[in-house]
Parts: sequence; structure tokens; C-alpha cells
Amino acid sequence: MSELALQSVVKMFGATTVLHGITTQFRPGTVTAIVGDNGAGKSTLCKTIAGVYHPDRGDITLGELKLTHLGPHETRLAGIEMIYQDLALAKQHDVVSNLFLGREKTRFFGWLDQPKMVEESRAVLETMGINVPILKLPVGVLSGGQQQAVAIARALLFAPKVLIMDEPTAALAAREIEHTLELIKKLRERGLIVILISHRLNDVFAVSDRIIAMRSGQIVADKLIEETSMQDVVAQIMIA
Amino acid sequence: MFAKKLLADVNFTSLLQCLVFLLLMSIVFALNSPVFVTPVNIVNILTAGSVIGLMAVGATFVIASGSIDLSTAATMGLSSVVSAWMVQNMQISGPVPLLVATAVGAACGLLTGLLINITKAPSFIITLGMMSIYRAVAFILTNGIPIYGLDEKITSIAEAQFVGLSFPSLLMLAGMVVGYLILSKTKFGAHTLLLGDSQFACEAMGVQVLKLRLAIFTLAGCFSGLAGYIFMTRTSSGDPTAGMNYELIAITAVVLGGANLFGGRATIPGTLAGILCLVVLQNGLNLMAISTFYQTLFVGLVLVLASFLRRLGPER
Amino acid sequence: MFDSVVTKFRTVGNWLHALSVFAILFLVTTQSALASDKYIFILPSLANPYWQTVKQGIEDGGKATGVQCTVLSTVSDQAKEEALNLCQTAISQKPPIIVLCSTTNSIGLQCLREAQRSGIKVGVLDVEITVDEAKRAGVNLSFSIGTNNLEIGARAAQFVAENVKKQSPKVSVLEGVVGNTNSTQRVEGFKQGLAKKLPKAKIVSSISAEWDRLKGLNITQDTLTRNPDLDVVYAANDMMALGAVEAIRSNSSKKKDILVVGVDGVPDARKAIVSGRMTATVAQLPYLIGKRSVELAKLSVQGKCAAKTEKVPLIVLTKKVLESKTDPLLKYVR
Repeated sequence: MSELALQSVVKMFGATTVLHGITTQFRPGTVTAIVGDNGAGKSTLCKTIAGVYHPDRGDITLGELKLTHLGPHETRLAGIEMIYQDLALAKQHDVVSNLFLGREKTRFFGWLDQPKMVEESRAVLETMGINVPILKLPVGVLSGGQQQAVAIARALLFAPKVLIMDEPTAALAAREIEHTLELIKKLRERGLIVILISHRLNDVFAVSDRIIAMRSGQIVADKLIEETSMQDVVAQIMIA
Repeated sequence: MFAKKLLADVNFTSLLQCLVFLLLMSIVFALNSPVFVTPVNIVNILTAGSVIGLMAVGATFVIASGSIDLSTAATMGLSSVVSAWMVQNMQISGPVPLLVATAVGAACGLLTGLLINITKAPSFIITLGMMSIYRAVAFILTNGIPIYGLDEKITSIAEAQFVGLSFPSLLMLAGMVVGYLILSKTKFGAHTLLLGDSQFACEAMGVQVLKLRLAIFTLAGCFSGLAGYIFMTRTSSGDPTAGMNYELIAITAVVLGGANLFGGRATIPGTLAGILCLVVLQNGLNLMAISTFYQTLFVGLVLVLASFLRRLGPER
Repeated sequence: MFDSVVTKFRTVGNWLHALSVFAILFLVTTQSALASDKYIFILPSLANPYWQTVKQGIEDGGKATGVQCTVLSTVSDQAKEEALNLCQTAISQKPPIIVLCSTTNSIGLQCLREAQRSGIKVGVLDVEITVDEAKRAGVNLSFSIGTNNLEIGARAAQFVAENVKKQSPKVSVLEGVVGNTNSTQRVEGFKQGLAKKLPKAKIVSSISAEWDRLKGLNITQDTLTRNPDLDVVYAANDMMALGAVEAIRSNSSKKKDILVVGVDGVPDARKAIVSGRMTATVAQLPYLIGKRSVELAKLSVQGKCAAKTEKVPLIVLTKKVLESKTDPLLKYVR
């Protein structure tokens, strides 16, 4: 498997520099949490990786492939998936429609192959151990955790190499956080590069292998989870 | 368990409510008028609903995608004028006026869609503007005077019957079937509904939203154009004022049929049921010779009642 | 979802609401079921007082001749397709005769043709279809009754010619809804008549106020701004004429002696004429049209009337005519 590498990535919005030359690597089969205060540049960093923004200087590579100038659609083809905080689900539609949004299976002339999609949906939900009561139910009536699971399952259908998750646990009830964290652990077992943005240090410590703390567009700490403690991280974030 | 599953399906319950409503209404009328349940009257009902029905198919797509099209009736009027002009001045008959009317509708829809995409303004505003523009074009083309006294052949098209049904009603039913297949069975239809549900989700998942919206408005324009052709054959005239307020009736029917006015949920069978509700109501009240003032009242009551009935269905 | 008692109560309430709507529908419909021996009259919108008066004439005529009459109508004068639907509904009831007034000839003829094919006798009321024209279109009319809109315009022009003080007055014309046959002919008749009787008159504007009072007011205001020396306003109906009256009254210029001539003779206009605000209106006699049409319909059904054309006279209502009360036609003015 190939490594995701950032080489002195600089991103500016107008005259404001948001990322000051970020250099780091992400290895397959690891979960990396990016923590930091609001405006620290976490989201910008992730969106730059996902191709939503283009870096002004520096390079991003996935294995041999250079991602620096690719758009969001092309980075997805290269194997980078991003799950937004609001999940980007169509709430009135059922699970199957959401899983295949944008790449529906068709037979001819755009004729939907519904049975095949249902079958594949079942398969992916089963391998992930996701329990959705009725596939025909609108996603909007599912619980937050189930919705999160659908979004993850949808990302997995693309067979990604990198999965970026923006605040996966922020909107969940305590009981459901457990499930989501379990899912994230399964992703690690599959050998994915998982990048989390999260405010919830409890969850970060429960699931991550490595923590990157950011402040004002720079990496101020980059530690393995065994080497650090919650107090340590909080201190890193807070020091001005 | 199966029944429970069906009842949990919002689309199905909406359709069911509409059908129950239709049935009850029909019973009331049948009890009061001996001619209500006769083949002649049933054909009349379908024929009366043909123009508005075709427009409603287009409106279903637009509403499903989370937009509103107020220019459908104006488009319909314009294509009736253009096709009538062709029939009168170029002595063309047969399928050509039908194709021309559809093409005019498609062009109108394409233009509307383009403007919405370019301006990023709410469809309500743009189509409101286009409504005036298309009407104005029809007025200018005809100098305000309807084109009438068309060739006998044209009216004979509208009066032609196949398998007991009139040509306009057959065209409407065919439009419904085609619309149903596109909306419920194809990728394009699925994307239409998904766009209305969450534009952000579609964009995030790489659906080309602008192209999609253009196609939806063009398709809706085609149906309006076809409706314009039917209007032309039925009234044997091209009328710039054709179908004033029809756009609102079409939207009413779509919503009666269980669609979400804000997009994401709509079905063609529901729209058909909605159209039938409105047309049967009018036909029945006509048979009873009830003043049009009460007819208007009942249309309002039906719509409000439908909203009440919606609350009986599963939560959404 | 369904288990709470509250939901159940709400559900019951909704069904009760639904039932009550059907109950109203049922009651209303049982009151007025159609019998097949009734004569059917199809009129344009009853929201227009003119057609209301025709309807009144029909009802009184029905009582006088002992014939049961049903009057059907569309929501608006513009609703052409609805008119067609209404016609087909009427035909499906197989009445002895259908008497039709349609605002467009093409739809009228189409409807009549279908009715005739079903063996129903047909007549027209207040439509510009002559018996000969109908025959050419394959319809054998039993009768055609009404007033000629071209003539209305001509009478108005004649009145203007007789009463205006200048040799070359400035004239403003308020048209009805664009494309409406009545409007077109009333305006056409007026312009032709004026060209004949008062060739030096100058028409400074001819704009559609869509039969509407407020639009008539606004347009006349604008016309007055541009032509402060306006002499005549001719409106294709009384509503627009009354709007023009308001515009003239509120106009700041001193010129108040503008002739305002309307068409129809509705009560409001008559009041305005008596009080001297409006000059005249060319009144049709809708009540007489309605009443007479029932008599003709009865004769037609009895086979005593075929291909008959009857013109109902017009009356020009001025302050003098209204106050002297000597004109015999005045009793039909409603």
C-alpha cells in the first residue's frame, strides 16, 4: 500500500496564509486525528488533500501519484474519500439510493438495476456489520449513528485508500459513538489511511494511533498516542 | 408485515389517500347523476384532463428536483400559437405540428433552465419572469388575436378515438407512462429526485447538477409543448392567453398526488391521481350544474383537506 | 408512530374533517341534480354582471314559458378549454336543446357541431356567429339571438360625433382583454364609425385596460398627462369607463368636460351618468336577450323555429334618457 505524503503545503486565501508549509506523512492501516482550535486550519488541510482547494505551494502525493493539482472528482478516482460533517445524505431517500448516489448501476439507456444495487448494498452493510432495519426506509428517519454508518459505507463502495472524516462523532448520542468508533477500527484493519478531524479528545484517544495538533496553520505537535496524554494535547492546543 | 411495510412507504400512502378521495368523490357524484358513470362521461373526464395532465407530468419532474416552474402554462400557450400558425400559414398537418410544438416547449424549458443555472436565482423568480416573457412573445406573434378557424383536419385529430378513448386522453396517458418510467426507473429520474432532496449531496457525490437541471427543465418544456399541441387541436386555435393559471393547477395536482413541494419526493401515479381528483370534481359539479363559484370553493377545500389527510400517513 | 392515544385522537379528527367535506359535497349536489328534460344554457363567467343579467332573463323566461332551464358557466371569460369541457359535459346529459354563448367562435362551433351530432338542437346567444356562417361550418342553428358588437361601437361613435364640440377632437380608446372578440369588435366598430362620422377626430391612444376599473383609471391618467386637451374617452365596457371617470375627476388640470362613453349599462355606470360624472353608455339588453332566448328555445324544440336570426336592440343611456324614463326599452335595463 502507498503512503499519503504532504511536502511543505502552503495554502493562502487572498493575503491570509492559512497553511504555513505543512509536511507530514500518513501510513496505511493507521488512524490519525487532527486536533486544534477553530481556525487552526484542520478543515482547510483536509479539503486541500481532497482536492476541494489547491495548494499554492508544495506537493501532495499518494504513493507515486501526484495529487497536487487534481480536482475533487479526480482525487476521488485516485482513492481519496471525504465524509463531511453533515454527511451529504439525501434524507428523504432510502439507504440504497444514498449508497449509490452518483454512480447508480444501470443496465441500458440509464435503466436502473435496482436488484443489483440492493444486493450490493446488503453485502457492504453486512461486511461492515452495520445494522439498518429496512433498506427502504428514508435515511432521515435513521438515527445519527446509522446515518454516519451509511455515509461510511457509501465511501467504502468506492474502495478508497484514504478516508477523511470531519467530526464523525460530534452529532451522535453517547451510545452511538461506540458503534462509529468500532467502524473506524474496522477501517484500520482493512488497511485504510483514516484521517479524523475531531474536537472530542475522548473519542480521539479511543481510536487513533497518532495525533497531530495544529495551531495557526502549523503543526505544533505530532505524536503517537502512546507517547502523549490528554493534558499534553490540551496544553499544545491552548498555548498561544 | 408486507402491508405494514407498504404503509410505511410515503409514496404509496399518498397515492392511496388520493385514490380513496377520488373514490369517495365519485360515489357522491354517481349517486346524484345517472350520467356520471357512463363511458361517454369517463372519456370526457380524461379528455378534459389531457392538457393539464401533460403539463403536470412536466411539473412533477421540476417539483421533484426542488424547483418550481411557473412558466409551464405560458410555454403551453406559446407552442399552441406557433403550431397553429404553422397549420394556418404553411398548410402543414400530420405529426409536424406536434413535433414543432414539442420543440418550442423544449426550447422554452432549455432557456429557463439555462437562466436559472447562470443566475443561480430561485427558480420561482426566474420562471415568474419567463412566464411573462413567453406570454408576451405569444401576444406579439399573434398581435393579441388568437389564431382560429384552423383546418377541419385539426379538430378531427382531437375528436379521433382509438380503443374507446379520445386522442388527447391517449396522448396524456402515454405521457404519464413515459413520465413514470423516466422518473421511477432511470438514473436520470433518480438523480432528479436526489437533486430535490439534497443538492449538496449530489454535488458532493459528483452529480453534474447544472446539466441535470437543464435536462429537467427541457423535459418539462417538452411536456408543456405537447400540452400546447393538444390545446391547439382541441380548441382548433392558437391562443396567446391559453391556459391562464394552468401552471398553478398543475402544481396543485402534483402536490395533491403526494409530492413534496420542496423537492425530493414525487411520483407520476400520484400526479395522475391528483389530476383526476381535480378534473372529476369539476366534471361532477358541472353535471350537477353547480355554480362555478362553488366549484372554486371545492377545489380549495380539496387541497386543504388533502393536507389534513397527509397527517394520517407515516411521519416524514 | 401510531401507538400514542394522542395520535389516534388526531387521526379521528382528521377523518371527521374529511367526512364533513364529503357531507357538504353530497348536500350541495343532491340539491341540484340535473334532469334530462332541462334546457341547458352555457354562458361565460358569471362573475361578470352582464352574464348575471342574462341568467336572470333566462330564469324569468323559463318561469314565464314553463320550461326548466339550467345555466352552466366557466370560471372566467378567458377559460376556453374549460368552456369546451363544460360543453361536452352538457352533451353527455342529452338535453333537448343547448343554447351557447362562447367568447370564441372556433370553440363555439366545435361544441355546437358535437351537440348536433348527438341529436341535440342548438342555438346561440350573443355570439358573432350568424346562421349562414354556422351552416358553412356544418352546424344548423335553430336560432341566433343577440346584439352586434360592431354596431355597439358604431352607435358609440355616432353619439360622440353628435355630442362633441370640436371638429377634430382627441380621442382615447380603452380596449378589453387583448384578443377577446367582443373587445376587438367594439373597438373596431367605434373606429370605423368615427372615421365615417367624424373623419378629423384623432385617436391619441388605444390601449387594453383588460376590462378592469383600476387599469382604466391608470391608463387614462397617463393618457391625460400626455394629452391634457383630451376630449373623448371611449371604453369597451363600463368598468373601464368608470375608471376613466375617476382619473378625470382627480386630474389636476381644469379640463373636466371630457366625454366618457362606456358600453353595457351596468348599474354603477347608470348612477354615474345620472350624477353627471359619466356621459353615456351604449347599453345592450342582456335581460331581454336571456328572456327571449328561452322563448326561441322552446319554439325550436317544438319544431316551430329554425335558422332564425334575431337582433336585440341597443339603447344609448344618457342623463336625459335615464331621467325622462320614457324609452320603452328602459324596463329591460337591469
